[in-house]
Amino acid sequence: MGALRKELLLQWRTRAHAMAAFIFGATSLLLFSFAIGPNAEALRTFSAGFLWLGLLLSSTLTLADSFHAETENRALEGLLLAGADPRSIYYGKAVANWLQLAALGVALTPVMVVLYDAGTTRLPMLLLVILLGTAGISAPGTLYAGMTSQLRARQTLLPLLLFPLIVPVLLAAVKATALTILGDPMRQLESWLFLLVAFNAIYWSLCGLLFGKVVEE
Amino acid sequence: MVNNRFPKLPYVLLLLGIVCLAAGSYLGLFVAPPEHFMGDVQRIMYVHVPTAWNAMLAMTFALVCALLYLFTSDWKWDARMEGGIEVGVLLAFLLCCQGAIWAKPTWGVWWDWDPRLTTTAVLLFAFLGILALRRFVDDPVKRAVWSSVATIIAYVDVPIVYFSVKWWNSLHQAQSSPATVSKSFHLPLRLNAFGILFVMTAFIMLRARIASLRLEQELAPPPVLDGAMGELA
Amino acid sequence: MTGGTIVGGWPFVWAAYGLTAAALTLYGISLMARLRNLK
Repeated sequence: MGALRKELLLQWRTRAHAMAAFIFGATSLLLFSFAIGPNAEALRTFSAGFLWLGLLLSSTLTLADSFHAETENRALEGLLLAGADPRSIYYGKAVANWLQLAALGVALTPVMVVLYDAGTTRLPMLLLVILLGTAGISAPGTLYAGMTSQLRARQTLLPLLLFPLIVPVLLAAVKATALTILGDPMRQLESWLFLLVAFNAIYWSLCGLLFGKVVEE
Repeated sequence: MVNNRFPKLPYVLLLLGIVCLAAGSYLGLFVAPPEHFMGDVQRIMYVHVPTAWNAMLAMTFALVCALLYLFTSDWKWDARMEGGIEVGVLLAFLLCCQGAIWAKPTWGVWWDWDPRLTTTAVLLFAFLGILALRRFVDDPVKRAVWSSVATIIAYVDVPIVYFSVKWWNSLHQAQSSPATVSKSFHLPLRLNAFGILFVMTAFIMLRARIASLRLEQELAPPPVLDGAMGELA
Repeated sequence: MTGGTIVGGWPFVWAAYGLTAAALTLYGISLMARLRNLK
């Protein structure tokens, strides 16, 4: 809990980074619409995909940032030497990253609505999908950010490792979002939500377990 | 380091493998009858299915090595894991190519989002990423630990990816799964399966040996300098 | 698909077998070369 509070405080202090991530995400959404062209129907059909791709790309910035402070001053080793439990460090960071990504998702939603004419009245459901999807990105993302933050090629390696892994999250989140926006006549939403919940259950526990190995000297 | 009790073993296995593959391929190409709907394109299955079995085997072997390394910290498991991952990547890449070559005459497109093949493609990228990770970590212990962790995480993902792609695919297409091999002629399949198995095992052994030798060089203590001018003692 | 037979397709079969054989051979050669360099 204390770890979480510290992370959130740190994020608040460096909130310029969050703004940068938002601008990056919004620009990506804009670029997608240019790539497709002024085809209103296509834009609306694929709006969910664009939103999550934009979110995923921005997540690399957010996740890498979360370990920036630790790498600067070798603070991570200091923390561990002082007896901090690596698991609480992990969960503190992962939850903080999750909240930041979810906030980014919420912030990008109006951009999506405007650019792609992709509005929906089912806002609570949309929020749920954003929460579940960003959680799925954050769990392995935080682990890999912890690894790659210590390496030279950190900017290339984080997406390289993370993206193949979260294919299920992308599939499920995009489908669930699309069903929320475009309608769900065959009631498939639940299956996709279930997939997201299952992915989160597996990876939040697995990565918490393995994080200790990743940071021990 | 890596077990060198039978230094010639990989070469024996290679020979055995080549013989099996030659026999199996000959049977599959020239002796087996063409299938009812698929025609001669079916023959690709005689090499595609064995490649699939062995690719999964290589990846599973890599997982076992990863777990064993984390539990024992014995370098030989790291060397073997590196072998398993690289050979697994080779086989997965071949699998995707064979699948595309099969799909074009069958479905008219190079890629038909078949769940098994798509999962293989994701797996291919995941394990390529792990190989890249290994290249960028200089500290051998960190390299071994991190790539073991990454291997476990990637492997656990495989069934999840498979299930999600299968569900995603089933909503769009009514395609049936690719043709299975006709029941009357399994011999070329089995021969090729063993052929690739022997070749793959030989490759993993040789690759593990390479990893082991490289590690020895990395971990070797620096030569002792003794003389006034810094000559070797 | 209306249930006809796929006629021909031999180029694809050769491509698949040829690619597999070539890839395995090249990889094997690269392994032996690397091993020789190290020893």
